[in-house]
Amino acid sequence: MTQEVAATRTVFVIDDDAANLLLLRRILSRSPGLVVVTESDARAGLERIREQKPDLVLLDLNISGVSGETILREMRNDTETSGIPVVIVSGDVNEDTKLRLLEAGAQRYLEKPYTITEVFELVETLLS
Amino acid sequence: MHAGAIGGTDDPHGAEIVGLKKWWFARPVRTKGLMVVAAPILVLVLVVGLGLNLLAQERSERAARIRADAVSSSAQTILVTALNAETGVRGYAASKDPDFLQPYDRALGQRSSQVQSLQAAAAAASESRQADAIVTSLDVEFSRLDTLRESVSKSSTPSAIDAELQSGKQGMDTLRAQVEILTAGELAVSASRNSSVARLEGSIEAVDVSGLILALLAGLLGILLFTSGITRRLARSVRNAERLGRGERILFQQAGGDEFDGLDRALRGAELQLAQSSREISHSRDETIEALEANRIKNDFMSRTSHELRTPLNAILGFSQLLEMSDLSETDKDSNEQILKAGRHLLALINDVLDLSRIESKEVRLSLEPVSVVSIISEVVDLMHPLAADRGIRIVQRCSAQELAAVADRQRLKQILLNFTSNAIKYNREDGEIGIECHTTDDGSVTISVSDTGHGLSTSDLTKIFSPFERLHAVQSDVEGAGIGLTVSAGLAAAMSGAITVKSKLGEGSTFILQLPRAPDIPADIATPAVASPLERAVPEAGDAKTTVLRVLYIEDNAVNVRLVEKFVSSRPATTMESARLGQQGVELAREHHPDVIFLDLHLPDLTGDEVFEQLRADPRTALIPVVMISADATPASVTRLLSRGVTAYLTKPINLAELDDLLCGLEAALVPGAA
Repeated sequence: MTQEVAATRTVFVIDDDAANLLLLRRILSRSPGLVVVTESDARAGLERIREQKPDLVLLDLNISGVSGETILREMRNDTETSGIPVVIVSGDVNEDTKLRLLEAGAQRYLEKPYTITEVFELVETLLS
Repeated sequence: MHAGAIGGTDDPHGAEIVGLKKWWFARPVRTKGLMVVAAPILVLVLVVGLGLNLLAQERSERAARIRADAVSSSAQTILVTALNAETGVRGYAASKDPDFLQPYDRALGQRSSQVQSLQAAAAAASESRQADAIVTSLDVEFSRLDTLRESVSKSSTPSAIDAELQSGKQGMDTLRAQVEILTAGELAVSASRNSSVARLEGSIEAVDVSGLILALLAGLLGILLFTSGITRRLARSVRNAERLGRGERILFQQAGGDEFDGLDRALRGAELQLAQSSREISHSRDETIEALEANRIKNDFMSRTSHELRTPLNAILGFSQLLEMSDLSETDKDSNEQILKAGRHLLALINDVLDLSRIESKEVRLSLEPVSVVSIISEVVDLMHPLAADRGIRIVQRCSAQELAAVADRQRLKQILLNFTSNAIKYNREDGEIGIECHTTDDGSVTISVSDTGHGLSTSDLTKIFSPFERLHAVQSDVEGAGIGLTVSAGLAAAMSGAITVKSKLGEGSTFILQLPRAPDIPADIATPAVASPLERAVPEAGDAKTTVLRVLYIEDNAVNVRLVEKFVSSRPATTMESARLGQQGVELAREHHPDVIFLDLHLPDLTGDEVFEQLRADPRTALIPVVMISADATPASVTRLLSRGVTAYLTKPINLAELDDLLCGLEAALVPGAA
């Protein structure tokens, strides 16, 4: 990283897969100045996003129960959360899916498996 | 179709047609016509025959009556002649005056002709006998009169003369009686014949009148039957044909055998054929729907499978990368490296299998555009160089045509060349060489060949290499790979209207050749590819645009085209660009950012280019922004139509960069105050 993120920034991660959630927490924790908040329940995650207003949301697409897409759309329809950048994280590499999520207001679509470098670059770009 | 009204055997008309009617229906129309005409003629012939017969009877009766009259008249004449003769002789006897003998002499002269007349008239046997008797009596009478005249002339005794006179009177009485009997009989015959004639005359009249009426009725009835039958059944056939036209069941007339029945049968045949076709169409439509549904399910399954496989793999690779960054013992580092390597191999395998599945279901999404062949080869060489170097293999590029371009999907072309090159590394000998060349062919194609200096392939090997999971000579070696790469490459090449061929010599090496359609050359200075992923959203340029900076909005759903123009624009300091993938989004961006020019694709996922153009023109905020249409289907008619509606310019795909350059130069110049 050529440029450290100056102030403390909060990144909110929603994923119902414990290993992947832990992985993102570990990766993001390596970047100083980032506060990582994780949530495995989508509905609860949306509530917490509304309360905490993080600087960035990493959202897994295929969450059991409420889908990541629903969360994204609800966020975009709520004026309090519509400005928060969202990165969709998914193993679904279907072009249609990607296009649909980008049209729904996601800033980026991060394909699994991702490299640590990709995650860092993405976060840096979106938080700068 | 009404299922209930089906079938000729259920036809209610069928039961009615029995016996004569059935026979009648079975006659051809020509026969029917002949019969209808013949019936009244036959009646007329019968009537005329009967009339002629009656007429002949009447004539015969009339002739018989005339003959009877002639017989009685002849007999009467003979009697009168005989009486006159006797009266004359009696007068002579009394007076001895020979003048009294004149009637007698006349009678003698007339006698034979009168007898002949009587005998000729009396044709019947009984009449003939009576006539003969009369003639005999007449002969007796005349001989007696002759005797008497002789006696008188010889002056016989008066007593003797008296005796002669007496006997003459008796003979005359006999003759009179005979004539009276004959005459009476003939009169009776005449009267009877006369009444017969009158009766026959009445009959003839009756037959004439009734026969005429009968023939007339028969004719009328026949015509009525014929025409009403024909018109009714013709009308039914017409209705059937109309029902057929509406796709309804026809009312089929089962009985019959004439032309109308034939027509109905033909219509029935057409109906069955139609129903069959309709069923087939419906069936094929169902199949299409099923196929679409199956495709959707397959697509969903692919998405889910992809996600399900990648999620755990992501954790494996991710944690492995984290471990790589931490302090590990040499052994652990090596173990971790093995995990990473196997994980990446697994990822490549997943990608290949998913690709293969898409190729097989013809679901490959391609963005075909002109791609610089040299730049792609350079990228591939850069990526593969470390791997080749590990085995001491040199990669040699032999592409002279710097501006050569192929019509291809950039990512897929790269994938094929990476597959060729990684195979060339895997199957090469240590310290071997890989040659990458590009050429144009006479038939307007581009070929890119990758050759190695490995074992080469036998003829039997050549037939196998495009089959999935065929890994030649790799079993014993430590060659990595799923053995599916060439299958995928061949499928991708075919999807891009290209082909892959192989040339090989055992012991000398193999050459894999990719052939693709050629595109117009691309200037080398813009051929360098963009690094960003095609699906990353083009982030709008930050900061206020200066008045001298041309701000372009490109409304285009094809990410590759966006990237190409983006790359081109980025090389121009006086131009910035943002893009929208949907028409609606583009219209909104135009309203918010008010760009200096809008590049508009004609085919967008949500709206047509025309609709977007209409919306832009309808809003005062965007109505004056120049619009440049970009589309592949540039018929002269469509260009003229668009330009006449106020489109500033029209660019065709693949985009000619020189044209784009001209266009941007012109627009930039127009922005500078006073420059235009």
